[in-house]
Amino acid sequence: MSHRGRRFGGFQEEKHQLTRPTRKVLGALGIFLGNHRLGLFFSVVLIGLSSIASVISPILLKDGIDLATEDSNYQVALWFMWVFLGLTLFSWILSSINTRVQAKISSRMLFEVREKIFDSLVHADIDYLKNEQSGNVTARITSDTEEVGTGLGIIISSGIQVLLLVSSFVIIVTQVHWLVALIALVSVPVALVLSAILAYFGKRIIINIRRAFGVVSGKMAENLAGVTISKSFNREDELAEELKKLNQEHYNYNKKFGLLMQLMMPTINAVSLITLGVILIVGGILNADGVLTIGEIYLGAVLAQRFLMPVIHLSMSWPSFQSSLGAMDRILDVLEIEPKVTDALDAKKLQTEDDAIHFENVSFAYNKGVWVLEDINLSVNSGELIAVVGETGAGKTTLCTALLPRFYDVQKGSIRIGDDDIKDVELYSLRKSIGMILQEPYLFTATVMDNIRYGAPEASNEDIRDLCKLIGADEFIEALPKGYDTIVREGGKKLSAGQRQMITIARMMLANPRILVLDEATSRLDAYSESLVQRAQELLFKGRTTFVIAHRLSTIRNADRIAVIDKGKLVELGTHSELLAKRGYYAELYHTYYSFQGFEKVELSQEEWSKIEQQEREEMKRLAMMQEQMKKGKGQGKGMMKGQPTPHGAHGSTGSAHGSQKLVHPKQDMADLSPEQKKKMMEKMKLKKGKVRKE
Amino acid sequence: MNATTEKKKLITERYSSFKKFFWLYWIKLNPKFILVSIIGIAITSFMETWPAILLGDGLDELINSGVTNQFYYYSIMIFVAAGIAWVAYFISAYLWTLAGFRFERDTRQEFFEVIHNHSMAFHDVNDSGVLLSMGMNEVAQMRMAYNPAIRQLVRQFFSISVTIYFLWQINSIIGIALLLCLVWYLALAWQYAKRIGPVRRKLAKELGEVSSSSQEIFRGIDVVRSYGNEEVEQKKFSKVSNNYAELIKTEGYLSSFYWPGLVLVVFTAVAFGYSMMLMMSSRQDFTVGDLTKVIALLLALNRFNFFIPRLLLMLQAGLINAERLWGVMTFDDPMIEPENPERSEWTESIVFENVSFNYPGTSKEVLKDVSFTIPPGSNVALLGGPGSGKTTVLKLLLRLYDPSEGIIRINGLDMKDLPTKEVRSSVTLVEQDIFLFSDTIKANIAFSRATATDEEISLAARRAKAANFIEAMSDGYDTVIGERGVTLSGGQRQRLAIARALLSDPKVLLLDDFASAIDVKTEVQLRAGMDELIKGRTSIMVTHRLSTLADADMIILMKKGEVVDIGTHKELLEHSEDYQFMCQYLPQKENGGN
Repeated sequence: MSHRGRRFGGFQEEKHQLTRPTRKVLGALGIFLGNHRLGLFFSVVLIGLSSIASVISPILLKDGIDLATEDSNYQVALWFMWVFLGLTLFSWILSSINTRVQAKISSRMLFEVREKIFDSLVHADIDYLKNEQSGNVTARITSDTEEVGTGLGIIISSGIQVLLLVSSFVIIVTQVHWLVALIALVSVPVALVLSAILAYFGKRIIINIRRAFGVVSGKMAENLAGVTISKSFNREDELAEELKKLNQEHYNYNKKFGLLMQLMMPTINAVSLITLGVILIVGGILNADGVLTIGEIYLGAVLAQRFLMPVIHLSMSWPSFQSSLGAMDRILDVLEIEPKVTDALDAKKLQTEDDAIHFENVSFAYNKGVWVLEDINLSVNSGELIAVVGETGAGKTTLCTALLPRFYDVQKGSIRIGDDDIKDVELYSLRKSIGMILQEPYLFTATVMDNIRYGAPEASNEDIRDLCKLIGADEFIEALPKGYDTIVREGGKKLSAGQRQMITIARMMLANPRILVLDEATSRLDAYSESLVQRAQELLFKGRTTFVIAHRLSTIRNADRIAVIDKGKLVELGTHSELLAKRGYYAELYHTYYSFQGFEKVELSQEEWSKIEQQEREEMKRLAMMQEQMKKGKGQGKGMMKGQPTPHGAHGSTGSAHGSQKLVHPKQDMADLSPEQKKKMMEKMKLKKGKVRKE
Repeated sequence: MNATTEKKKLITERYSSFKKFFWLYWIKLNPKFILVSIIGIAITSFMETWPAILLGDGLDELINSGVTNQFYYYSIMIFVAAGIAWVAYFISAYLWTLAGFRFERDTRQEFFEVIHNHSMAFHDVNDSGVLLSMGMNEVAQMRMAYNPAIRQLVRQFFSISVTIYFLWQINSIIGIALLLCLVWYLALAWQYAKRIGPVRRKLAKELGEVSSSSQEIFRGIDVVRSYGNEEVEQKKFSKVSNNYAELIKTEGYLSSFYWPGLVLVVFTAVAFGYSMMLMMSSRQDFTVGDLTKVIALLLALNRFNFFIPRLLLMLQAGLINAERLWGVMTFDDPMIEPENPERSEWTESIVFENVSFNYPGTSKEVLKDVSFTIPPGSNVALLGGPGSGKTTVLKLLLRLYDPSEGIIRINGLDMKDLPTKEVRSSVTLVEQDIFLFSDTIKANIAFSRATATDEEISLAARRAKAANFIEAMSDGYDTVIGERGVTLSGGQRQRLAIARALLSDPKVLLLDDFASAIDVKTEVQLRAGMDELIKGRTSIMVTHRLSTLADADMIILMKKGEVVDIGTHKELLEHSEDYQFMCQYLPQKENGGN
């Protein structure tokens, strides 16, 4: 048998109610097993044969003992030895081969399950993925799959145990005596009771242990993450003291568990010894009556010992088996996902001629009935820079980063790029055409270089360096321990938020998309870097259709048009001066927020202060309500569509910190880039479609 | 703070190597428990082995005289043995288990304290996830090496000794042969453990890889999709997953032909045949009972065969973990607390004298020959592009690191002569990315001064312009924030950090200015809080805000780790091209907005 550690006992934190009939779940398991029919069949044969061998050898021992009590010769003894040796060797070889076969089958099978799950998940609707926490999604691929593997192991080992139990019983009845069989059977209920006790108390204690362990672990993680802060405020000792308490709590639960286990284990041993004693006495009496031979007593005693372990094993592995069914059930949930957003059967590539974007009567809801966007009609001309403005939660982010790249399908109306409805276009070609910078800068565990190259695998290192120089990222990247080859770890933990955002900007720019969506793309940058990025953007991407969600007044004012969204509706559309003249919603926004952007000193009157504070309180209320709603609506649309539910990270809602002027073109050239390099860059960034853009 | 009075000796000071740490520390924790436990284990082993002998004797008695009192005596002694074994097992195992858990508790605690006290040089290069897993899982694995592994190995050792003793009594040749066989067996088993141990560890690592790579992909699924990289990621994942599957297979293959097991199997068979022959040839001193004894004892040994490899693996894992923990705990910290600590009043200038710096473990100089003097009470602005070394200057001032070259002088003293605690109680840093603990708001503010009263806390919050939003929450200052509580916006976090800094009332304030775009309401409040914070103390601020630059007593302009220029806004505007260049890009005063 394999010597891989099997977890002792299957204490589960909670009972998982299967969402499908057990038969169906088992059937699904069967399908995965079915791919390895031949190997499994072979394995079953091996197990059967080696079980037979391990049942025969005690009989052999019995016969040997009985033979020895009579007079016989050496030859017989030798013969017995050889047969016994042969049988045990045979059994050893068979189970070794079996272990090998099983190792191969189970590793391949788990690989296949994993692949299937991954495939299903990677094509699942964003909707699904965002509703599930990423930890849960990962659990499907890792721990759930492992658990299914454990379940399979349990089926096999339980099969073997049952086989041994039954055959031992049959042998005792046929070869020894029914009374001995009865005595052996008595140990079965005892074992059942023991494991029931263990399961009942053990489960509770284990839940507490896990919880306490989780608390210690969480505290330690937090303290390690905040090590700079605790150092700078000299709080190391207090934190250690706090941890000590939690540690002690964990220890107390452990102690209880130790007590329980150490009461149970010797009891099992004692029961087995007592059985032995009883069989000896009963056997002796039966022997005196001439019913049993010495060898048969011996056989009974040996086999009776085999009753206890299988029963304990079986009852202990039952909960793990249940939980592995639960895991399979959850896996089936994933495998049965039918993505709603898929390529249409006759999907074609997105046309390359026209970058105008039309939202026509678009309505959209994450949760049925709760419209996030209603009846949006907006036509953006090819090459137009359009600013989308509105309060937090108005629907800006949903419109630009959720619907346009078709992460979600609209419920009403349609979105067209040129003449193509995005529903009729291949997702790949659609998304490749749109470059987005999302609110949360997200980096992968890879070198800085590879992170930037993510959207343009063919780009050379030199291209990347040039681009970084252009946007002013080169300097900080070079200052990293290994420059561009520094590996970004833990999502870029060691980079500042601004640096992470710089890298995502470089990544998007390098991908050289036709259409740009910038969702607070520079919100985490310092003012100097921000202006460099904006200049680079102007240089490289001027004349491409661009959506900007921004709070910076200059950006908004520089936009060709401004779309103002309030509570999911497009309320105003026009240029800055048109909208101001209108004295509507935008004008109000502008006067409350943007016109502040020029201030230098905080010199506010009492009135203004209380107004600001009043607004903040109201906003907090609104957000609290929204979070409440989210909870009710099972947290639809959280995560990516950050603008919607919760404010998160280092940026707030509307308005930008700095007033800014239109950028003056300096005489000096930006950053370290020579004019030639810059030109080369522009050359590279030209759209490959060969289309002449209008200016 | 109690560490100052009685300094307890650290593990790393008490033992000279990880091996000593592994073998001695846990005994040191509970010597009595372990002593009693070992005696208990010896008794248990004897009592659990003895019934095999009793069985044989009983059978002999049965053959020779039938069901006699002697026969009953043997049978009943089996029950007695069972009873004694039960008691002895319980006591020994429970005490041993306690010793193990105590070890786990104390080692975890000490591990945390030691690494937490390591300087930033350590934390910069060590992944916090790995450290966490060491503190939690690897310490637990070390405990498993003691309990059950060593306990069971001790038990097996006694059982085997008893078995050999009994066999020797029956027949000396079988006894000696078994002894030799077991030595051979153990050698093989240890070899096996050594071979499979690394595969196991690799397996654990690969599973971590599978987990983290899938987690990463699904966390960033919007990025993956927006670049249309689903297939690429799928291929990558498939590779990782396949590596893992192959390793599982390898491990299964390795464990399939478990040769040490064969030794015992063959030995049992041969001993069986040999005993039978003995019995047939010389019935007088080798009885049927002896034959059953031999077989029963040997079959019991075959059961150990099931456990021993696992126990050896656990032991091995424990040793390896001990070595890893040891390595981390004995980190050679470049930050050394002064032997003759000085105290500084921070009343005079802060001087950088030719300071150069590279982060420990890296060769890249992030500060090059930096010199400047900061007069007491002045407001200094640090200006420069990303990667110019501004933040590093702040970190040096907090003595999170020591300069690689050059000296930082405080009141004329070398900063290296000031204890870190002393420095940090006088200097406070407000970072750009604020770290808050998932705890109440009150606890977070009072983090800078544990003794602060409620009044002081709310006063600090009010001055930091945080009181307004705190009081708007239903639980006020007792609101729990973070993962399990309320999510705060960036501006709110900033203001809490300001309140925290205000409460600590530092002599020198270090400020890493917030990013450019936060909403205007927040901006106004934040700035008001910051003005409150810098009032009346030396402040050094990383900033790109033109108004702050104009107001600063002194601007230090940095570029690529070097100080390019120093002066006031006016002076620099006049003579520094770099400054003019930068200013050009900074947001200017908005004129009217129309």
